[in-house]
Amino acid sequence: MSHHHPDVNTVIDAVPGRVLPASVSMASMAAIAAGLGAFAYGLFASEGGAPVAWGAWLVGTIYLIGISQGGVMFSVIQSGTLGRWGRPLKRVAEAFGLFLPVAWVLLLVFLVAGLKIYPWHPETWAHGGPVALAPHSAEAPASKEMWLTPVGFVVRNLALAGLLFGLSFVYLRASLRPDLMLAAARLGSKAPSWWSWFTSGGGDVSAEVDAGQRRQRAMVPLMGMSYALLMSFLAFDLLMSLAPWWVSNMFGGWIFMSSFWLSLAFLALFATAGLDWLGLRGWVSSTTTHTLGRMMLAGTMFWGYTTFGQLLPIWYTNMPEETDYLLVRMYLPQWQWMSQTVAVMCFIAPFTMLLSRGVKKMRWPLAGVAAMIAVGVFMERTLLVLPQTWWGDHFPVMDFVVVCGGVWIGFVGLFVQVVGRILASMPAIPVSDPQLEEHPWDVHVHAPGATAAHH
Amino acid sequence: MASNDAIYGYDPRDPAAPNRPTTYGQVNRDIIRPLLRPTALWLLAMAIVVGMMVWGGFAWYQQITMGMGVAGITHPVMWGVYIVTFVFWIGIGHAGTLISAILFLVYSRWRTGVYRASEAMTVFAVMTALLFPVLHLGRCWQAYWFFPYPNQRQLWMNFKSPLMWDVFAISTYFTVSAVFFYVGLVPDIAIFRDHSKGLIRKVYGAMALGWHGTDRQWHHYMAAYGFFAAFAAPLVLSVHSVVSWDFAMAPTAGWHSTIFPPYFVAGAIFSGCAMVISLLMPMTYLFKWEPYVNLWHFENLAKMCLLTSGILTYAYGMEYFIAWYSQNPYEWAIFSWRATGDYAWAFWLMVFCNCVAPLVWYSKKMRTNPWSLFIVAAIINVGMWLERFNIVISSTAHNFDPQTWALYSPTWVEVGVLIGSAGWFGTWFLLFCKTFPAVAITEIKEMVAPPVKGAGH
Repeated sequence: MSHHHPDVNTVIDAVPGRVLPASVSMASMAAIAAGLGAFAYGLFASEGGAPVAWGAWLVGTIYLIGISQGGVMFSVIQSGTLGRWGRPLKRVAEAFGLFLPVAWVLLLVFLVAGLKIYPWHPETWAHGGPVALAPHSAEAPASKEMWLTPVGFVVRNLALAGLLFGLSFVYLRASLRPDLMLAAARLGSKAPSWWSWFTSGGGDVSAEVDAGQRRQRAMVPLMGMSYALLMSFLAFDLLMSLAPWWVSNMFGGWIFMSSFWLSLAFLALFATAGLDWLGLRGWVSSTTTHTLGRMMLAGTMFWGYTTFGQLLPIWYTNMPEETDYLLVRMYLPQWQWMSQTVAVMCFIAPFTMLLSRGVKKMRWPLAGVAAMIAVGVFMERTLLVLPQTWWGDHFPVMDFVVVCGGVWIGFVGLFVQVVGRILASMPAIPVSDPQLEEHPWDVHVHAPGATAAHH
Repeated sequence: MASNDAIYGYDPRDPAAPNRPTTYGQVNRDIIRPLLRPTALWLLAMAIVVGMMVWGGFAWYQQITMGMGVAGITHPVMWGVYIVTFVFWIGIGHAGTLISAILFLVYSRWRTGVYRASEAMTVFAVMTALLFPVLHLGRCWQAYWFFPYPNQRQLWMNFKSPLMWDVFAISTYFTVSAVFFYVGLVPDIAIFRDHSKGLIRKVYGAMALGWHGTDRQWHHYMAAYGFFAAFAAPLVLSVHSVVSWDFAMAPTAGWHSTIFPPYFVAGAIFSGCAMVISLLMPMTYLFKWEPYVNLWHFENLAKMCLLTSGILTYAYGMEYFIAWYSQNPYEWAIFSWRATGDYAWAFWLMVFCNCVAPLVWYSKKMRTNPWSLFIVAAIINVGMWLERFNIVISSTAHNFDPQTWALYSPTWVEVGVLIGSAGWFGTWFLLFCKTFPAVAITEIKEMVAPPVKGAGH
């Protein structure tokens, strides 16, 4: 084993008996309860009523789909690039992916009960009734009437999400199977029973390790294309169609890239908070957090770039069918403060802070920036949804704080509870992964004065 | 480590890699050798590119003396081959800084063998691209009007125009790329100085800026190199984004698209990486650089092309989907016409070249086959020129007013200038390869075992 890392067996031996710490479990359960309470308040008692409550639910669902699917993509990118720096974080990211079935159920609930927030729905809750979808001229294709139908919308989105999540599960199985087989062989009867979903029909562990690596790498292109394409369509449908006549063809790419970035922020939070609990100390070094911080910085810059890339052509061309979407969010007083806060929390502040090497290398400062990004992306997603579900002159602040904030806290609590339990019951690093160790050719032994001897 | 060995099989650090360099002295000798005496093949290549350049110069001379009427541009298509080719060369100029700066920042090893030639390609490609706004002007002697300068009439260019943003974006990119390129060259020029005599030694000596490889110099060098890498990386994104806004800022159907910036950047990296393959494959065999530039590098470039081809395919698809979904009759008309109208041949050829042909590289066998690499890279280069042709020509030929619709076809003058630009680029590149180390000597040495007593250094 590596000179730098502890023995992987200690990681395996730590699994039996490990449970989610009581304080985290209690806090996340309290968050779930608060979320349910906030949702019920929003639905039955708040000024915004059902549209705002279900809007908050949609924000939470998209948010958690982004983190979970982004976690899978972190693992996919590590496999595709043969990256070694992030291998100790690969399993935590994959645990995010195991939340996807729950995310699918959250989506199902929304599509069954909350679909009327869409103004194109024939029985919409929107003021003034459904928006007309018929083309404005005979030359235009009648696409919206075809694309935006309640049944088609529900079936399409459940199918798209199901396909993406199913492919992710196949990928995750290829990654988890050899690890869990190796761990099960060591732990015997102490191994959790749910591991058998992944280890059934297994044979030789070393053959499974090779096969798992091959399968993961083989799936990289498919996963990349599926993530980009299917997440884009989910974004177009679930978020962009809230404003049925507004379009931006970068919207899908913007959402899937920022989802990946959000997932990096959650990875930093979990790696920091769970360092000792998950036995990651000795594996996750300051170099690991530095590189993760650099990826978060790249994500921050890319968010700024793609946001500005949509804003500038729309502002410059100044066509009413495009600008109204921005005017509502950037100039109406009830939303202006939020768009300004988003600009600070999603770009200005994290960009400035992540330029510092020290912030990237120290876990808690990095976790602080990650928390800010996590809140910033929540507000950004809220800004996409809520202005389409609340039509009053002044948005009631309590509705935002209690309903949107409360539901979001509940969703995050659910994520922590589920992912925490998954992580508690499996090795927190990919124990059988050959890339977990430094490549032997990357280990340099420099003779004294070797640099000066270059020529 | 069996699976890794299969992937790293061509890495020069691999003890089993063919023709693996073993000493610093061998690295010096191998990379300096091409500079000693021009071979017949090199002279033949020079004759071809200079011939192309002369033809291009003659075509331009015709345009200057006869007027812009000798070019095919006319209402409503006032942006023809010159703008298409301008965008094409700017795109080619992306891969160098990407390979050099961004891959440096992400610790990618395979950049070492190819980054110097890629950087040179960047600088020469941008120099080539910069010819085209001047060519397109017609009255090229007034090109200085592009730049802000004090003048009696207090006339300034229109800073609100994306075309002006382009001038500043490209000038900045060119300056930073050229400085980054030169900073990287300094230690290697010092090696050339130490291996040359007479006047040539003096010239290299002046260019080496007093480099002696001391610890202090290396310390400053590494700090400067890291700084320039970090500074240049965002420019890779910004410059082609600004080029894309030349189009996206207009309300013209087919141009006004928010996805253009990342789509143009991905396309630029795609074409740039393909061009690196196209240039370096013959150079590798011509100059016998196999120990330093080999299939390991080309395979990684092919993988970059696969990634960016996927992004382009996604962007093409999104443009069509949103044009349909938006119910905007103008957008849908132009996108339909691109695929079914007079220029459909260019559209479908573009789709084949950029989306279909690279798929063969999903097979490891094909992306490690020199012929497959060379042919598909050439196809990609054609496809990326056609992509710009589709964007520039179709939207102007079929604009909002059907009464003004007309078709465009380039004249021999425009084709001559296009070929001449390739000659101009090739001349610079071949001269560079004969004058400076096109493979980074110092960084290659970092991959070779350090010299120890009795190792035959």
